[in-house]
Amino acid sequence: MNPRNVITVILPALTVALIGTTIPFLVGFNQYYVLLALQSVIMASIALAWNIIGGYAGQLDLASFAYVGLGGILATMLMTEYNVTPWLGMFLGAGVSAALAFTIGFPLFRFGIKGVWYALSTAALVVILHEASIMFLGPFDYYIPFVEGWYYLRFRTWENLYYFSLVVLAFVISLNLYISRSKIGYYLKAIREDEVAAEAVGIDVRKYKLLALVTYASILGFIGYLYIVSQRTFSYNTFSGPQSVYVAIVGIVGGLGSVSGVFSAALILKIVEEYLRGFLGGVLPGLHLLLFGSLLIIVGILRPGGLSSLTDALTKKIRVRIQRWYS
Amino acid sequence: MLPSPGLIFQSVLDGVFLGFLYSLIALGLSLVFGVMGIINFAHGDFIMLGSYLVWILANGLRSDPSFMSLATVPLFFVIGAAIYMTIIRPVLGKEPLIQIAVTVGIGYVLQNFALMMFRAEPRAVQTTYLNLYLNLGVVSIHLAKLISAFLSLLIVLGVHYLLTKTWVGLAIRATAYDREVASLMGINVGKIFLLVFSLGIGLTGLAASLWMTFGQADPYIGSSFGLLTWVIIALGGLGGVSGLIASSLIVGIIQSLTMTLVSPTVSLAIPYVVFIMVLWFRPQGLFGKV
Amino acid sequence: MSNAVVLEVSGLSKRFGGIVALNNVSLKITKREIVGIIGPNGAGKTTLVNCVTGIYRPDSGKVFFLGEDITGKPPHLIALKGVARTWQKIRPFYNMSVIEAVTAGALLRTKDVLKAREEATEVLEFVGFPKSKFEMLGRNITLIEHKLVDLARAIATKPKLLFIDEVVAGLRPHEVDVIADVVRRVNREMGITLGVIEHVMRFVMSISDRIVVLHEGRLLTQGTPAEVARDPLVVEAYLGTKPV
Ligand SMILES: Nc1ncnc2c1ncn2[C@@H]1O[C@H](COP(=O)(O)OP(=O)(O)OP(=O)(O)O)[C@@H](O)[C@H]1O
Ligand SMILES: [Mg+2]
Repeated sequence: MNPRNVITVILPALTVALIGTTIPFLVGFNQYYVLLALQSVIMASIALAWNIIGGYAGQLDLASFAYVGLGGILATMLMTEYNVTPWLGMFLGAGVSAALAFTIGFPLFRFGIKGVWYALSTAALVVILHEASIMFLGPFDYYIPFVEGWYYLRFRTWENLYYFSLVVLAFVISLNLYISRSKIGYYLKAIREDEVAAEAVGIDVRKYKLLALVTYASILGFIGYLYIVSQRTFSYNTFSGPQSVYVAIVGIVGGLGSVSGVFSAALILKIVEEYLRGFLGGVLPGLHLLLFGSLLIIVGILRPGGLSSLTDALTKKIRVRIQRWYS
Repeated sequence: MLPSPGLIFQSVLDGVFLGFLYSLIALGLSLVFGVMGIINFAHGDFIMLGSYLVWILANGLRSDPSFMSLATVPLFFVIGAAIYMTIIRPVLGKEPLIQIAVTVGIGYVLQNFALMMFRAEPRAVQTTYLNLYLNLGVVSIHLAKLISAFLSLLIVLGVHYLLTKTWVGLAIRATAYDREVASLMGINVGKIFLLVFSLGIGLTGLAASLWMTFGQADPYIGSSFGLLTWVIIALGGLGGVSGLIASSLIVGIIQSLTMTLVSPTVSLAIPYVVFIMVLWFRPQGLFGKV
Repeated sequence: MSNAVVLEVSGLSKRFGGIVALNNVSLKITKREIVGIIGPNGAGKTTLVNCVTGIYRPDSGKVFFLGEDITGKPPHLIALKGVARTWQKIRPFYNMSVIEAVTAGALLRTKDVLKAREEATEVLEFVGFPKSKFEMLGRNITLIEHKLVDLARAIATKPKLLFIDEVVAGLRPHEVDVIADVVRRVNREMGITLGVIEHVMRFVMSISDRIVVLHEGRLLTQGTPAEVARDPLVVEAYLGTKPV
């Protein structure tokens, strides 16, 4: 990559991370808000990972929490049972999730499974893991015993984990931007638009779809531990179908393949969710999800551009400014 | 401990009854998919919604859930038409991901609506005339299940007759085969789509009232019905009605057997394992043509 | 080596259920030739291209490209070897810009996106696509523009052999002349061997070195445009199937 591209890939991620670091200061280290910021950052990272398979490659994947759950529970249990540091556990989680994705994806793509059948297979994967994990975990909620320090990536307050998650988010943003500007991104988008036409211009559709799927799954497997710690608990319900659908909603409402759109959608939906929960949570649980579902329908009907139609114009302006300044 | 033959027989029988109900549910979904190419992820959630409606009505009127189909079927037919006009028609020409996503959105809305209104506890109808068991020695037959299986089969065959023997059915099949040719033949494809989608949703109203004669309503039965039905269609390979019934029975029996012999958890997961295997090794379905 | 055989098809057959779309078709295309492939609707022209480019696997027969057996190879490998094609029924990338779509084609021969973009720009200019619309999304351009993008996307893969499937169908007469000129230049200036499928006789007769006629899946006859135009078999095939 040439230097200008490096800048356009790294700079937005760094900017987001830097702005992000100010948040705990701005909210006066209020733990409620820092936790909220942490959860938003994690959801944004998950949705941006989904963007690789869903947004770029155009496969409606509904299995995100299969990979989050698998990687996360693995890293967490390695820590609680064998005192293995999550620094290692998270990479193992990423590896195991990637292996699962490969095992599922290889035969599916080989036989040309796409569209609805792909979506269903992935939805089925979550159900299978959900039921299978009841056998291994039992029908209980697990609370992580309190341990502290960088070795465990667990702290008395949420700030450190939040900063760590910002680094992860910055990585996922850069990865997305890198993909969208590289050969892989062009190829994935071509596959999304028309697989047959893509093959005819020499694109190995199977290979690139598998690459997208495995990349997505390994990021989620890595993030899993952060997700579980930020939720304070895990159980068979971590393998959640509705949560996986939620991720796809964020990705589509944000705009397929748009980094700024998906990022904004993740933050905005999280804020709306908290706001409604605070107001009506006791009275009408699930109202925010009902609204998000409606939002998905509306975006689908009106235009598949989603939020990105707004954010893209803005980021383009900024990018042109920066490029002018750089050259 | 080896299960007795009677237990196995009982379990297969229950699976068969359940399978016939599944075939009724799968019929509507496969019609919509086969004719319109629309992938309705919310199909099961309409049954869920219907189940709550039946629960309210049957408890309110102190009557049997099966009678409530007189209300749910026309109502759901109309709801189906409304959803077709407002949501489905605008996305007909769009990319598959958006089409699927929109119906996923519908399902999500229905599910959370139910959660909001009724909370997560399962609800069952108090009054049912069919909650009787016919004791036949080795096995006992739950009358509600028997009747719902019978009615399901009747309706499935009825719709099959409609499709194969009437003019409307011919028009529907022509549309499924080739939209452009159908419209050249003077068939109003838009009207056929409207009819098929409404019929598909209308049938979920019937399935809901049959289900409530022995089952329970909760916000999540929709997802499991929905996924199961897709599994059935994948196995049946969108072939004829016989493939559909056969794969419904297979799924019902597998589920019922694993429930008795292994565990309820396994019985929930096993159809999906079969589903993924079938997609891997026989993408055209068990009974589909090559 | 100007007579080198680029493509050799021998005994190719393909059926769809009861329909025999290709029936024992054999033909050769030599280097730098423009071969017109004509025949009434349903003659099997598109099926021939689909079998050569790996979209369909032929039931029997062989396809050799530059002497190498490519029968039944996957489309992306065949494209890599140097066979490209355009689509009779357009297959546009609606949510990618014009330049992105063509760049995707150019990326077959390089990893460098900037280089591929430059090549895509050149190819788009070569086919005469208006420069002001390079950044437009596929969903926002006209039919003739789609055809040009499709052509550019295929050329960008730097093929040795290119099939052009009914590129002028549905276009107005003056647009046909523009495209005819582009097609000729693709052959002369880029040195790409062409198989041109077309119903518009004026177009195909004027650009082709040689014409191959398919009818009901069989190779009816072949020869120079003048020979074929005089051939009674060809006249009969067209009159026999096309309502006049
Ligand atoms: N995928 C397919 N499935 C079934 N039949 C097909 C398929 N593709 C082509 N056919 C049939 O094969 C025959 C040849 O079709 P083909 O498209 O090759 O003709 P063509 O010469 O390109 O015609 P046209 O000039 O109309 O484009 C036709 O009868 C067509 O209906
Ligand atoms: Mg053709």
